[in-house]
Amino acid sequence: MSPPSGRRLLGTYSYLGGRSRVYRTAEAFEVDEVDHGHVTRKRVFFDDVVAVTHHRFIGWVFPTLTALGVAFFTLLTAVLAAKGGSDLWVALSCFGAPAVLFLTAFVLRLALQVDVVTVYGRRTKVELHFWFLKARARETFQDACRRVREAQNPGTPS
Amino acid sequence: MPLGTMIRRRSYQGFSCPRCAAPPDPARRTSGMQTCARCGGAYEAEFFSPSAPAIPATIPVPESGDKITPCASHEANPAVAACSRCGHFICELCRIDADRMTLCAPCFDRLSNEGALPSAQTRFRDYAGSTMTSALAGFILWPFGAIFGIAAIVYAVKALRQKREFGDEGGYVRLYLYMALGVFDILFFGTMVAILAFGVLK
Repeated sequence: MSPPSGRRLLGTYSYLGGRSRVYRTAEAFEVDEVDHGHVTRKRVFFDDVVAVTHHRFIGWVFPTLTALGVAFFTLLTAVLAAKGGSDLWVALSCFGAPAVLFLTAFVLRLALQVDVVTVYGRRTKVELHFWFLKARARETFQDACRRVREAQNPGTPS
Repeated sequence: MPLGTMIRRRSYQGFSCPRCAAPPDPARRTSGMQTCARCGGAYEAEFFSPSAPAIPATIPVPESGDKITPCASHEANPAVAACSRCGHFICELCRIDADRMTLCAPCFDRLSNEGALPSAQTRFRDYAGSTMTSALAGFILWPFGAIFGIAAIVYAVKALRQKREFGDEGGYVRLYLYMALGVFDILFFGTMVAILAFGVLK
């Protein structure tokens, strides 16, 4: 119940219901769940952790949404291209550019995937998502394991 | 499966497969690479065995023959302190030290529900998020730039104070940038009003 000291932001991630910011303090992982202008905080103390996992996934929400974006804007671009006209290039760039952006996001997601580090406590869990920083995901996983080992087995070299 | 069910967040059931949330086989809990029996997905896991907090239900009374003051809730236990709020004698089992106070469980619950214990508070205003929203809204909706700009500056000051209270090590630069955007919103609004006013006067 001591006040938090020296919080370090480890990562943020968004989901369909809101957004989370994950911090590390001297004794716990703190998750600030942002929801309609308020932050709800929960903590997973190092001495309360039962498992730490690391995996890579693609998911279905993001690829589906980006694929729909690609399809929608490509369709619009195709319709405009078929119609022709004097301002064709302006119209094409207006709708073609978003299509390219969506396609880039879609391809990046499939190629890179998302690294997820999950810390399971006895009463709650913490998830950390890393899209581009793969090495940082690995470091976070190893650092979390080391801190939990130190907290649960004080004096034992980790 | 309906989308609502998929979106709804499941209550926490303890360790499960990070991919499909299937409960793992307890017999196969060895650290290293794992393969989920249900979804077949692979993940790396390290398992730990946290020790349960060892608080005895009854604290032995010292055999000195001296008369002891019993705890108000546990007659068999000797009192070790008095609650800072209600003054009831409390034993080691009941004692909760929070924010430089020694409290009994009911007083701790009451104070934490009232938000009077900063260390037990788990719900806060998201001033950092409000700063960002106000600053960007003032930029996009420039006719309301003055209102949103002032709001962004006020929220940024509160967010900076909140960050210091939380002991955050980073994230300050972002807030200063949004504060600067708030100032820009106000200036941009003022400039546009001036241009329009002069244009109308001409």
